[in-house]
Amino acid sequence: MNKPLRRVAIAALTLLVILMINVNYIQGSQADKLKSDPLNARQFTAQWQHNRGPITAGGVTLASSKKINKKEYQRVYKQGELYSPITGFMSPFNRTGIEGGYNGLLDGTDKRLTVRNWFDMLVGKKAAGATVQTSIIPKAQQAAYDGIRQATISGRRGAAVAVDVKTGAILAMASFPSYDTNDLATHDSAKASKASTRLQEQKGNPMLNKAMNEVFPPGSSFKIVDSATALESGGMTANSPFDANEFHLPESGQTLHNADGDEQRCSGSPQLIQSFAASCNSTFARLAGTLGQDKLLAQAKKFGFDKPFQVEPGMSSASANYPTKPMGGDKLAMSGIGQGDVTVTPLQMAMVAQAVANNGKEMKPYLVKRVTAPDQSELATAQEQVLGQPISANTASQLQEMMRQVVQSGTASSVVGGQDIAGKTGTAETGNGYYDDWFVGFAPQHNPKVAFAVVTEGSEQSSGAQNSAPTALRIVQAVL
Amino acid sequence: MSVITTNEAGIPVATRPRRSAQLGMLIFAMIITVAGFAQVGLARDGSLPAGMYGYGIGLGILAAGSYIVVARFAPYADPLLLPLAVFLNGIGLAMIYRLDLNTSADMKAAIEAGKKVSYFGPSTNAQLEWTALGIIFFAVTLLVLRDIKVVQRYIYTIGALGLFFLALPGFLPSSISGAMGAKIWIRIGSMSIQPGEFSKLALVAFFAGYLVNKRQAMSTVGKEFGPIKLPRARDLGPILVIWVICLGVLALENDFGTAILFFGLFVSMLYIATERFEWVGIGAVLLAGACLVAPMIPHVSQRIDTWLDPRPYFDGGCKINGVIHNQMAQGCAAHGGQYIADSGQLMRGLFSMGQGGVLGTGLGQGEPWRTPLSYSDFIFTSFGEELGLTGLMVILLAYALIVQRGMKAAIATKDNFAKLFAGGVSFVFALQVFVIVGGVTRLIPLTGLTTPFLAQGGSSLLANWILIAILIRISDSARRPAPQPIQDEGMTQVVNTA
Repeated sequence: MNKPLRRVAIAALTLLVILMINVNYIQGSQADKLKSDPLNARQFTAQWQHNRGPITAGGVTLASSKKINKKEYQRVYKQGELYSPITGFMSPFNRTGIEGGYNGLLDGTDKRLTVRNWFDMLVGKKAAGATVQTSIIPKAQQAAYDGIRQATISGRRGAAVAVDVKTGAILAMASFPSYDTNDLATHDSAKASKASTRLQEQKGNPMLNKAMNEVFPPGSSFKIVDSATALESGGMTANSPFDANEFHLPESGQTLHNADGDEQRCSGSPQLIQSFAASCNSTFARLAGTLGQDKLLAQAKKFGFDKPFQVEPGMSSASANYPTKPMGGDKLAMSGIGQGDVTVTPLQMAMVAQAVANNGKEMKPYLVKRVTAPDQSELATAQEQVLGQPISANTASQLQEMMRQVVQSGTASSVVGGQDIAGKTGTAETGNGYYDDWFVGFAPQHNPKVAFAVVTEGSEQSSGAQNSAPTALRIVQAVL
Repeated sequence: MSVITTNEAGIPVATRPRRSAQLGMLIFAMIITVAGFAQVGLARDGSLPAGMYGYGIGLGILAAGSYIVVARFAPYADPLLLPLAVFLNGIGLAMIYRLDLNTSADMKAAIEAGKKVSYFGPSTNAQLEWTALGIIFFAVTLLVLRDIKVVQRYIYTIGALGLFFLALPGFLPSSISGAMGAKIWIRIGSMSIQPGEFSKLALVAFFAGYLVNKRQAMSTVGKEFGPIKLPRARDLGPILVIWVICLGVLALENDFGTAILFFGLFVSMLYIATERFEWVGIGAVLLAGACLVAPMIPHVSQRIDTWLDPRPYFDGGCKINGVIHNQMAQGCAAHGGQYIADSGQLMRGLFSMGQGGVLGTGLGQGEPWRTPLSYSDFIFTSFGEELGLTGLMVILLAYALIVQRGMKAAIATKDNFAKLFAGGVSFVFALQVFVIVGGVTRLIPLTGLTTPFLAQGGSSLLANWILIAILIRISDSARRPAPQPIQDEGMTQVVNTA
């Protein structure tokens, strides 16, 4: 019986070896994944015991940790309302923004930190957290937030994004209404839960980052995308004449009105650049029909529509939408003026402007510039990354000229005329008692350095130029 | 004469007592245990805990007693078995002590708040009492069972008793026998016994005794079906009947973990006894069949669903319109859904292991109590959290060594009954570790079995100490030198033919 006994012995020991392999797999390679599993409540109770590193912006500390007793730290946010879209928060049950995406580095449990201090790890000493430096410029952030707050009517929303044209670094990202992140960072879960419920019930959804996680109709600012399509695949140039006469929707026969006072400029066959500067709805609704849905969709997708931008780990934007299902003639015409089923995030529009300003090269947007260990050594640094080339350099330079024209002689000239800024206005009707007012562009007019998108929800008398262009100007002045 | 000799099977057999090696390792096992207690206290209160001395001395006396019994009554026994058992029992006790302190603090707070407390949780005192009883059983087994062959005379009685105790909880009212979906306990007052733990040993003894008598007939006489030769019905019949009864009873009691054990036991022992590999093939076919049928049993299909993808069932899985939502049973009913199962325990166990990582948080410094039953079914993941991968590998190696030493005794012994008995109990021990540890680490669907020597629970501890006693007895007889034949070379006559 010894032969079968030996085999059974080998079988029995094999079972134990399988267990050992499995345990190695779980604790050796899956441990980090299990630790940060959203269902895992442990990460949230132990989180207060870490001396988390700060989140900074241009030398200003946005989030820091303060020791409150022998074991625990309190997270403190500076101007929580202003910086909430950047820092996010840590509460007893969740973490958002950079607090979430960079949790391992901030609390010191990331391998990049623990491996350096392997001896500390061996004796059970907790590694101090890393410093996360964002690309935000505090003055620009303040300008953005103040601007959208003042321009937005009661109960409505606003957002602004500014990015570095050459690198894609986000320089300002503001959302209104906002909230004080400190309210959620309490260690008392009942209090945090109450604060969270209160904020969720508030008008304008304060906890939602409107700059990248909410979509708005782009209105006339979408005409940048129309024009890009016309220049790229419609065989046109900025100087091509195009029918600007009164336009009737092909199916319903309804007249599509231009803005008051533009009847004269939007008639005949002006050059495309003229219609763009005057923002003739008749031209661009007609142009959309001529170009067709396929070409517009293809161009929109090249800019990044219909998929999210991954800004940082755990921080992805909502998708801007250009309809993929075949549309009727009316809907197609409406899409040309950024209405109907077209919706965008402010970040998406800022990226369109960035690509135009960067000679057609679209950069990946990012928020974290550098991560440094407590000993000041560098753990990670932002890598500039080209997302694609949605338009040629030639198209880009024509679009730049068209957007300069808007400021010099077009819809924005009465507000920011004479300023070193370029852009496209947009005033989207919502039918709900407010307008979505846009100003999307770049500055300076030549050799642009900053691209932006500003949206504010103003009254039905407001316009993109009046309501959002001044904020855009304040942002770029703070940056430059 | 060389110290190391080989038996007729060519297995090296130590033929001298290894008392000092055994004592040394036993002391080492005790040091680890006491260090475990000390660490719990230091981590929690910054001072050596009062319990360390009491529990340490208690376990020390028991270990010393067991050593004396082994040294006196089984001097040639494998020197590793006893220290390994003491080590596992000791660190299990330290972990229960650690978890006990924690719940005690909660309980004190609850009592102060004027809440009514029903206490059913980790208890170091109870576990130490059971350990004492286990070691007494161990000693008694070694004293009474001077020769394992004695058991062979009573195999039918032992088999019948095993079956009776296995079936008993199934016939008792649920108030006495049921808990957590299975009916496998007998509760008398505050004590609860899992008779299945003892039945397991009894049935191994029965199978071993029966198969030793019938193995010749079973492997030579029989009908051929193609390449497979089946034994005669009268040879295989009785064992098959008992086996089917066992599985039936276990199915009724919803004790599928034990059913897997019995199945593996049956197949492996038939194979060892008959030396015919077909049995493993037939076993594999039956197992495949069982895997097809099992998902139709609700209690089993839940376990399989939560094993395949536990996330939707975290803190309760509720099926509403074909989609599973996280919802507790009560809320599920309110939404008109069908409550399926809860994977919270399984996932918390995994989170616990993830928290531990490679080196662990250190004893007393983790939060293993977050997992329900962290002191019994899930004590393995508790160790995973506080001792890390390093600690778990040590525990699994200790188990592997027990299995290897048991198998070695089986191969070394000359008696066929002892061979089968030792081989059977060693295999079933390995299988039990595999089923429960594999279950809590999500390698296989979770079924409730005790983690030998570590988990809180009296019956399991007693049964495992008896198992160690049996292996020690068998290894002692295997390694005991044969009585020396009379050699008197001086008397040899040299015939001078010159």
